[in-house]
Amino acid sequence: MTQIDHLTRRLHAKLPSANVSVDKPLRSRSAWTVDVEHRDRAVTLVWRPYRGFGISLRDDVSYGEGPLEVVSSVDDAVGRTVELLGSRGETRATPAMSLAELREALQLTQGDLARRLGVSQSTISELERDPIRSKLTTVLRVLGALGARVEVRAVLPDERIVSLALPDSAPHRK
Amino acid sequence: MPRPKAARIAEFFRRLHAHPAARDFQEAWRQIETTLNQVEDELSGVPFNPDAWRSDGRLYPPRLDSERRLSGHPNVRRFRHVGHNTLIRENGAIQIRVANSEPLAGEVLFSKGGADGREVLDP
Repeated sequence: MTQIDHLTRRLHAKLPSANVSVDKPLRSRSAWTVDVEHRDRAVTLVWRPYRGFGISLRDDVSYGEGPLEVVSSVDDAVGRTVELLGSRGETRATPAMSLAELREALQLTQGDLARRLGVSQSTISELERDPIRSKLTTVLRVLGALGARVEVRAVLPDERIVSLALPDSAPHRK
Repeated sequence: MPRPKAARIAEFFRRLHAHPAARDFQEAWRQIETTLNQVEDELSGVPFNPDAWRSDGRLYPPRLDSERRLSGHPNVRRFRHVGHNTLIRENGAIQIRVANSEPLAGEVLFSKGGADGREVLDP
């Protein structure tokens, strides 16, 4: 049974009143499309072997645009589809943020972050100004101090997607 | 300053309409590909990435490997984007529709006849 077969079976089971249709490519190794229409909403899933599932609310995507969200498993694809159709949610392409923007979004000052890490405020300033020069372990410590969980996905030469296990970098809190 | 997607799509449609009507599939395909790539190069602020899979903010023309079947219209080829279908007839006619589980039920966003004057779904 292919990934598409798994996906459509699970969607039918979770959304028995939805219209689930597969739009098959002429070349089977190209991207497959599954349209899920439920009441007044529609989600389109795009699956390419070894690239995972792209998910978009049909109303959110412009002509020529790729999928807005990508997940790697059938479970995640089904879960997110059900969520989008049922909760009035939106798909959004995740914007890139600098470390400073992320810190400010969490309403922390450089001083707050410095205290969490046990370093000086000038160290944080330097890191935010030029993160490329910093070690990856340092960036991971900073993200951990911001409460973020870091996930790294690697695309292998045969286009399989794997998640890399990273050490827990979050500082222990009292 | 990059322009919003809606404005870029409107510009793409405007320029595509302005081209002379295409005489065959290949000419129509080239018009769609070059026109959208030009608009995006000028207005999107996002460089072309041939390996793009997830949305990167740029709009890409259809790919040949995105072709799907279209029942009842043997002289029309259908290409699928995430949310749209691009139909191209062998006479160069072009139509872009919102995707739907029934491909020909989606709203028409763009339509232009071929050089012989016939539209995509004309008899």
